[in-house]
Amino acid sequence: MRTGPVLYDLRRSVLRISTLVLLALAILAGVGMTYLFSVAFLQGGVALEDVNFMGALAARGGRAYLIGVSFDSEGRPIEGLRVELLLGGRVVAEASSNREGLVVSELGVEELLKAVATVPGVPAPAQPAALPVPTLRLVKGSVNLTVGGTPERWELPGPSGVVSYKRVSAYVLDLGIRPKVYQQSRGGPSLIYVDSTVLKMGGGRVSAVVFGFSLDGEGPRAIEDPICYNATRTAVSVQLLFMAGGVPVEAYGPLSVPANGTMVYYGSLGGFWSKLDLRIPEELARGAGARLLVVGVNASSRGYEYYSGSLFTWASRALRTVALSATGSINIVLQVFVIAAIYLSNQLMAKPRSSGELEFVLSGPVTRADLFINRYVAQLMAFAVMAATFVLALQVSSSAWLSFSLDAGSATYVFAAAFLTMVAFLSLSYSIASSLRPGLYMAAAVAAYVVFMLFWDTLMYALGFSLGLRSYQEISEFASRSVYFNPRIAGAFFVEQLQSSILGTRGTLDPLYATLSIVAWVAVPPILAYLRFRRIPLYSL
Amino acid sequence: MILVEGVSKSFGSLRALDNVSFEVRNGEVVGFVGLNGAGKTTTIRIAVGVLPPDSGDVLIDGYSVRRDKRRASERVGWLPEIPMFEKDFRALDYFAYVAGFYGFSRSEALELGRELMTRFGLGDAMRRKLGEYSLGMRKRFALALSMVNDPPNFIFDEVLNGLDPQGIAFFRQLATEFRREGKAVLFSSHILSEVEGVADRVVFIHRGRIVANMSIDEIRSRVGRDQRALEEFFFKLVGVER
Repeated sequence: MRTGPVLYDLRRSVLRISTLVLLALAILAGVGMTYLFSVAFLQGGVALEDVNFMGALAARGGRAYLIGVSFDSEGRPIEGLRVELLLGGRVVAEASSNREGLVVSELGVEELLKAVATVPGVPAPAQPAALPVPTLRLVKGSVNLTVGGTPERWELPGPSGVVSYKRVSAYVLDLGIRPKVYQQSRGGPSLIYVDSTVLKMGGGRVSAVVFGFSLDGEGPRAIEDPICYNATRTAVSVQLLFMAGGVPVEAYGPLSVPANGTMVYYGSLGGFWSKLDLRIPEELARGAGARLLVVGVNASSRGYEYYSGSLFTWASRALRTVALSATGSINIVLQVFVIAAIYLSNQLMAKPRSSGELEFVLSGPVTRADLFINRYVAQLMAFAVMAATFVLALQVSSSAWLSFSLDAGSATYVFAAAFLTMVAFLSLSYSIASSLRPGLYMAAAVAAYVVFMLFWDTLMYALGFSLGLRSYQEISEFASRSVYFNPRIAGAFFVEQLQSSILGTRGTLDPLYATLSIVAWVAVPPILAYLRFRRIPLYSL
Repeated sequence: MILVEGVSKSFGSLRALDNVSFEVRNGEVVGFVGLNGAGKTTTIRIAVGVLPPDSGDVLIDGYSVRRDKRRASERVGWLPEIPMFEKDFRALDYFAYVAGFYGFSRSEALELGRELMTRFGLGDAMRRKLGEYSLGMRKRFALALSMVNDPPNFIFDEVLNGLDPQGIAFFRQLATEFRREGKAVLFSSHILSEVEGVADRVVFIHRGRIVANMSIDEIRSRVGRDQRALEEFFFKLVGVER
């Protein structure tokens, strides 16, 4: 294949006013993504890492402890996370997580309580004023995250006559679907603390991390009695109103308690809308005299329920914004760039082929394969330019504006999503263009665009329903899997990879099937089209 | 040399060519004459490699247009009746684009394009878009393109149609020049008298079959030089009442 003519066709592909407008849009999209990133960053507390911490500050018998567990978005323990408790800007306790993610640090409770008591303006002990807002600082690698909280309620005098009960809501959960999981018990031989959080991941999987311990005069220890849980779920379709389902309630079941004091329940709870309800046996919640200062900080960069398509994950507000900005922008860019594939295939193949304008070129030392491949490759290169422009605009603007840029892996995912989706659509539109007249070609290409880019999900939900699927989860899984049969698969797959790289979630698409689908969409239509193209007249008979 | 060997082609149920064979030797101008729809253009399209035959082959200097298309096409220039080019191209850019397939670099192609387009009377129109070219200009431009590598074989397909007397004289003169240079030239027309002045030999085609292949001297010996007698001979040959 001679490169000169390919470069000419590339120039003709790129240096069209319409294509230049699309390139300008690609630049705008890149800059727009940067803007959304900036909005996300301005919210503060952003760390592009997958760190959660759930814990409590508990005092009993004159000794106080910072106790908690660190885990990633899939509930796996994180080792080596340094957790610092700050009061009034001063570190009063710190510890690093062990292999089980467990963090235990004894701190000077008297000092703590004294600090509390000396807060200016503290009223009488019976109704104390606000504690200085405790904050947690999480440090690991690039994570240096400080999360503050808002005092939620006061209760009980402490052993030194000062308030020692406080809960801080540092959660950034704001969808209101966090279950009622916090329970505590005072008194008895032990103080019992149990907290949990629900991690919602892709593929309809819902998991929970439950953390608990008991505290007596000897210090914190594992809860030896079973804690029961109950998973409830509701099936409410946001896609199709007639799919609203019931609210089955499952029986309470025992939760195993590992020896290290943490109880991590990790497994499917049955659906996106599951809630986890914990029940502490009555015998554990008796007695008096326990003191519990619950920090309850879920100091997480992932402290957010996030929904995009069929994917739930656990991410901070900022990360969620970043992830939504990235995927949203990519999808907008794809919607526009795919139109470019339809347009360029018309200009470089449908129109000249049907009007006989390719004949003269073919009379030269050129085979039909050369001609077919040349023009395909030229458009392919044009799309590479567009996708690269998009990524470059994003990287340059975010570097200049935010002193931040996507790492090479994430940038590659963005490029691959944009480029391969365009290539898949190019293969389809170019193949149609090589055998139909321009009018018919445009009708077929626009129909393909409408079906594959605009109404695919709706069609698949309707198809799933017509096939007898009734629950939201079944139909959403059906629709999710159907993307393998859509040339948008490359975009869907690489956007999911991007989300995974940012949010630490698992993708729902199988890499093998996705790869096979991408290869099929890119390669099969042109091969079939060429088999026809090599025989047909290149002029109107 | 152009050798057409047993070429057949059908379009659906229409048998456009049926075992067509003839040759054009080097230094010879062969007229290719037939009524409209006889199969001249289909034969030529197959000969220049833009249309695949159902069977048979065309050899250009021994290279098959089916099996060795690139080499065969390098050795033959083609001037179609109505040259069609991509209209949004500027002429000189299109020249460089086509020349790229012959292995010319962009700068070489642009230099050659300027030279050939000036030679064929398009010096002032090099920067214009091809969509703005008249039929005569397009034919001259096609000629310039066909001369990119000065091929040893040349095919004119109804090239005199739609031209003014000056244009007709130009292309007839060109065919004669090519013969002098030793090129094999196939010159098609549906009017026998158009080729009579330039051809050494005439191949007659009718309804997709070769019905006669005789030298111009042989034809003249039968009917003399009278134009009307030439046409009568042609119609009698193809069995058509005038």
